[in-house]
Amino acid sequence: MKKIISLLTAFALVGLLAACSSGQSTETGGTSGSAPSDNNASAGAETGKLKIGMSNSILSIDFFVALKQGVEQGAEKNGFELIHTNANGDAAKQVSDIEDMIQKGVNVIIVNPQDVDAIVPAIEKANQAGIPVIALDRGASAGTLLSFLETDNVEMGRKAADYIAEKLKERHGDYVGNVVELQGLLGSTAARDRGKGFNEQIEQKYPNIKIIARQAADFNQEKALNVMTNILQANPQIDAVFGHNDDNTVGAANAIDQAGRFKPLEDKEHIIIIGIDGTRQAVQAIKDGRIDATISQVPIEMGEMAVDYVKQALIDKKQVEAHTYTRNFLVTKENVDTEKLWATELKSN
Amino acid sequence: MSDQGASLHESSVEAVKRKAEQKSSVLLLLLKNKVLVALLLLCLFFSTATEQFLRIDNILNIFLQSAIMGVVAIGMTYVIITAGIDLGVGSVVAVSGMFIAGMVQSGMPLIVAVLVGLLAGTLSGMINGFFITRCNMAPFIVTLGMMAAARSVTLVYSDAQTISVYKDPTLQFLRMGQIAGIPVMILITVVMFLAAHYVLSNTVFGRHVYAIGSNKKAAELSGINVKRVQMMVYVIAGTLAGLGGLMMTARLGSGTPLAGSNLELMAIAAVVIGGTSLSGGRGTIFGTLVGVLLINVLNTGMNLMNISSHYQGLIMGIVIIFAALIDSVSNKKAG
Repeated sequence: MKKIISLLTAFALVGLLAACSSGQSTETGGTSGSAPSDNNASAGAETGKLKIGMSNSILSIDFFVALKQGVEQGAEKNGFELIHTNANGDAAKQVSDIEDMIQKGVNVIIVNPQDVDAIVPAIEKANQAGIPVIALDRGASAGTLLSFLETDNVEMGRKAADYIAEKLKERHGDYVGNVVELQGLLGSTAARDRGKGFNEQIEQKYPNIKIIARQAADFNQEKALNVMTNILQANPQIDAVFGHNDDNTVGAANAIDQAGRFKPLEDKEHIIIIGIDGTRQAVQAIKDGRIDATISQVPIEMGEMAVDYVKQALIDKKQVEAHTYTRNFLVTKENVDTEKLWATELKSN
Repeated sequence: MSDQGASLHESSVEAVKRKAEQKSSVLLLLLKNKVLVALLLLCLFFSTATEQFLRIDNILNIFLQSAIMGVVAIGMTYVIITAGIDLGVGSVVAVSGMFIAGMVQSGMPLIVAVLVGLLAGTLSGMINGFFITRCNMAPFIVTLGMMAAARSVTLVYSDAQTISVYKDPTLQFLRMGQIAGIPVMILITVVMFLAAHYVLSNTVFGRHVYAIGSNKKAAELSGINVKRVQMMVYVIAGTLAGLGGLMMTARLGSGTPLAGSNLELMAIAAVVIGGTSLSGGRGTIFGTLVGVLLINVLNTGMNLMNISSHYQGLIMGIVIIFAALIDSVSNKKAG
């Protein structure tokens, strides 16, 4: 009797998976625009439909979800089939995911690498299998890429420096003031390049602006809150804060609030805050007047552009740019309601 | 003594008997290993759902992806059979992998780097074993400490940076090399499984491992050096995690600070799915192999079917619980 129960359990296990997958296939059928009854993955290949494999590094951060959405929209527009995986921040899982895609026989791989070095073996395998690879946001230290799309982090750092400098000039009549820099995760290319652009610009163009505190807040709101609280206690006079990303500035804005140092935008004592990325929270905080500005990237556009490159290279047989910087632009109270922002385009799941 | 008819009759009866025995031995194997049945059903399902699943390439792919988890799970099986647990192995994979990458990058010969990496694993096992046997501490808390400490050593040593060594030719051979069409990494894992199976089922040490897990007091009274055997299982687990680190660095072409995160939990899941009891005294290396394959077949199968990553964790969780349930139900019957 028990034997039968346990065997039944084994069957139930498989049945469950079948149930899950059939539910899933209709779901993907809806989004990819293929026939809902299309249960056979090979059907696409037989009809000559181009198959894209997209490997995400992580999906718990909106920016990376936006990359995925861009690729999805691009694939839908062009009628391409899309296979998607999420490595959950695990470089080894990302290699396995890409191996599985190669087995699946995708025509092209779009990858957002978790790590520029650890992704190399996966890129090599794709190269060996003759599958072109496009990298988004992070590149690969070796292996051959068809194309690499990213935002110019150094330029965004420079823009933040310029914004703070102009605001300080409005206030003090000259490029002077005390500025706090909240760094991103040390060792990440984003933190390195954004900091580099910001600091070079301050040193060269605005030598009288002082960086009075420079601390790592790890792209993390809670860490930023704690770090900024300490900095506020140590420094009675702070004019502006630059955060390497919006999580840093959202955390800093909370710290300023909690320390009772918040003053409205027009006030002379107001601490100017600018971040990078253009996340939902930052956009809302700009609308609410708690944060002055952010420099928005365009991850959805980046994803769509990658699919355009796929079409150009594989269908039109044209050469594509090996390296592309996608747009970035300043978002303030003036343009937050009129500008097309990825934060508001992002579908909420 | 017997006439021709009788002997003919006898031989045909024997043949039928033998056939029946053969049949029943296959049936027995399947009934004994219900998780194996679950694995086969899962494979059957994926091979009808996707046309790529049954291809040799893909099977090798699954074995390759099982290699690191497999090696780590072997050590975990020994530990769990003694009613212990080792939560530190994931971090030890990272630390030894990072040592190997760092030393290769600084120009040291690979053999030295590998020895240091393996020794780091061995040392971590000795530290675990010391606190567990000499200070009578609970394995859960000692190895939890090791998990945090080893991860931290990884971050300190590498300054939280990835160290790239993908050009090293020997590591490249480990990553991509094949012998007789089979990837080297799979061969290493197979050898480890065979050796571990042999030791556990054919040596005195193996019997002692089971004895300690089923009744520590009785094992002590019967003259088994319990502390020594316990120390040994943690050293084995640590050293195999060191080997896992070597394989991880080869596979990623680099040492990464977050390598092996959650690997200890997946290894424990594989061991338990494979029928090893968390309360000790019962379990097999073959079962662990089945458990490791089940997890990796599911991972690859779900990717091939393009199941949304949001659902993959849910399905994996349910399958782990169901697979463990199969074992728990059939175990009740036996006991």
